[in-house]
Amino acid sequence: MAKSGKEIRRRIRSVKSTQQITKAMKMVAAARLRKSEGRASASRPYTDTLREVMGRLGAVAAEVDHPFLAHLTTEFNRVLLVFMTSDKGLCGSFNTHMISRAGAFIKEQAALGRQVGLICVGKKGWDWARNSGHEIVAHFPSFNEKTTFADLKPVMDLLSGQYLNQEVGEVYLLSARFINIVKNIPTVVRLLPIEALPAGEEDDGEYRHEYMLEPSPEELLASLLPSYFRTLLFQAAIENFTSENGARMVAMENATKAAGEMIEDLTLQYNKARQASITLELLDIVGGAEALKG
Amino acid sequence: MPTAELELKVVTPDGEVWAGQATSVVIPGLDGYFGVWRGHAPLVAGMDIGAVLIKTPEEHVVKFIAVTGGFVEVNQRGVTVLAENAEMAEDIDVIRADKALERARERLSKHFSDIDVERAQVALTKALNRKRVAERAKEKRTSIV
Repeated sequence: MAKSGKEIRRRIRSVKSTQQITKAMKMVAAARLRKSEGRASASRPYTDTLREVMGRLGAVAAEVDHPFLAHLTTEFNRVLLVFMTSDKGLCGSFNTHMISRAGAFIKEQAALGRQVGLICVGKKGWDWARNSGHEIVAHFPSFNEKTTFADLKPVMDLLSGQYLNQEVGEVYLLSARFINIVKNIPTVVRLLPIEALPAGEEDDGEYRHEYMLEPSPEELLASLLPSYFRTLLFQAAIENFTSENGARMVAMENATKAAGEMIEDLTLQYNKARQASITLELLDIVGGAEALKG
Repeated sequence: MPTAELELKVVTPDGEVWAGQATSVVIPGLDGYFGVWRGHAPLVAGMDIGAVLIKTPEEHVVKFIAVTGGFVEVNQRGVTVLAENAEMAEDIDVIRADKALERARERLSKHFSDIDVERAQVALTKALNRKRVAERAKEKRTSIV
């Protein structure tokens, strides 16, 4: 017998308390997942409507010069990447996947002769960037289920500031796109200049050119575009957080299951050890009695 | 005869605030308040901080919504208000608005950088707007201040 009964018992106790923690973490992740999914679906009407309006304005937008719509310079050697990860670990391979995607992006850009400045949203990405010596422009704590539009403002200001000052040529965003609880895809999208606006719906075609715009198309777009841009960022932040919690929920579920299996194994071991010691004791007693008789 | 009503939706990033039929809507446009009735020409307009007034078909009950900037789209189907922030008048916490008002005034009385002053002014306008909207809703004053 490898271990004494006492040792195994101690081990079972320790695994059990770990299991309690993982179980609790799973519940917390599930609750936060539900909340952020709720947020995501609450903001969907706004996002969808905004996208529709933008689509219908696409024709107008093409006639207006706005720095958010076209490259300010064609020659640039620096881009920004907003890199979303989580603040906390214990969420399986979530951050690992995000980080490897970021690494790949930096390589892609390097091949084009561009440097990448990182804006880390979330501690894990920031840790990675620091340790691997990448250029960090700024870092923010991860967004969560309580994030509001106002919380995104510092990030927005930084992005548009650097972009408008032509310090960078393009701005990208890397975040996890939420597919379902067990699946998310690290996705890179270009934030600035805004990628071609979604096309308008067919049935609205005939009205598209009849829109009156107030105040003027330029002024209207000047306030619509930042809003659109912020909505994209907001949506990404929520999805990223939802994905993180999905990943954590799955990871903790697995850990709880593994702990359960471990407890079973250890209990078996413990019972075997106990029985063996009883058998041994019995043998001793019987042997002693036999010796006395003889 | 088509109904004299229009579909109205007021949405914010935090969710839908109001949706339903309306006989007319008054919008705080960037160039001033304007009214929308059924059959209005398609329009996209920027919105200022102010109040959206909704006349509903039920004996012309008027709803007040405090909004802080955004856009409004008018098309054949109806009106969509995309506000950055919107609050129904009856949901406005007047005490909180008062507090925000005081805070903003206090900040304005001390002089910081231009950015701070600008921010405080915006906060002041927002707080004032919420308070006014709440009061107007209580008194059912539908004229534009």
